[in-house]
Amino acid sequence: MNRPDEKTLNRWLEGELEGEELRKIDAWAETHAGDLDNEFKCEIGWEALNDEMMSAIPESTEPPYPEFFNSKIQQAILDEMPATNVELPASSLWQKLRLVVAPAAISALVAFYAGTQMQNSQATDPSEVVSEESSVYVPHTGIVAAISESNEATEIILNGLNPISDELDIAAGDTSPGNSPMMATTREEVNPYIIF
Amino acid sequence: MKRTFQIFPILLLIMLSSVSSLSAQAKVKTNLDRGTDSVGELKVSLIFGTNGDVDQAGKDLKSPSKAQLVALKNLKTIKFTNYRLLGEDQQPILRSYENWANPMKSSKEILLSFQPLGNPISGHLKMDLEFWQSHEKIMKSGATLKKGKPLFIQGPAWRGGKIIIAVELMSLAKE
Repeated sequence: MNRPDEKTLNRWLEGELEGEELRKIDAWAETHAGDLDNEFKCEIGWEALNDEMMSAIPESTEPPYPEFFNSKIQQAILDEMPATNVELPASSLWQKLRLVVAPAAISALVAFYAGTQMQNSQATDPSEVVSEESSVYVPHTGIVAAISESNEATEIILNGLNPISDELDIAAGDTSPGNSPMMATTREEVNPYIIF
Repeated sequence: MKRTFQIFPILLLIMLSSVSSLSAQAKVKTNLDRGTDSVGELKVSLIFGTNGDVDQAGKDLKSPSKAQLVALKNLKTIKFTNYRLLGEDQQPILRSYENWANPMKSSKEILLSFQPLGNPISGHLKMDLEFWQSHEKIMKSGATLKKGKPLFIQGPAWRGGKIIIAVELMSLAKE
């Protein structure tokens, strides 16, 4: 048998060959053992070196508290990493809420400040909010009201009113027939303490 | 000793709550209804104005005060040569109640009801004024009054002249 190709030899070395192919290569290897020794000398040397090194390294031992140990290592790694690359742990409910609460609190503060300023402006400069203009509403049709404003007085002229009968001596106390609209709300009649 | 320090904050809390409770009760008793507080005084005068015989209103009637006459003479639209005072009424302005002025004590032919529309601001008081004639509401006005600036309403005709209602803010409570 001719010398098998490199690929087949590697497969043979890895133990991947089976059946007739394995038998052929085994037979060839028995007759060409010297060639094989020369060819794989280097690799065999590496394996021996590897075994020697592995035997020199002591067997690994578990730390007494592995989870704590791992977490400390992870924390140390995270601390060393730049801030942008740090993956934050899942935020708590308060951390989520503060994103909403903080702007709301700032808005409330601004609104409160604005409110106090508005109130102050009213107190300091009331002339801006006090309108001296009078308004008139006349429920009866046919009656017209005219307003005249000056610095000294306000005048309202009511035209279209029914005249008071000349026969009625109002100066002497006469009144047209009917019920008085006056309600019992004069100061003398309102006594909140009377019920106690 | 340690126990005393533990009890002390509890006692303090009880004292504070008692004081606040008593204070609230006292407030309720003293301020049962602030609506009855007076925020000022309003004078309503009923004046008869005519260019004719002033005695038509009545022979024993007085002339308006000098200040009123000066104000009447300075009016732009209400102009008469003669004036007589039919009556006047000065009433406190209750903070949140309807008030009534009855210038002619015995007659209720002409009445004025009034109610503040807010707190006095810088000497001004916005008021809801209602003019009543013969038991009917004739006019409703949202007038802003201030001391020294009266409001004159020229009302119905009577005996050759006109009835004039003069509304003056006499005083205003401190703001």
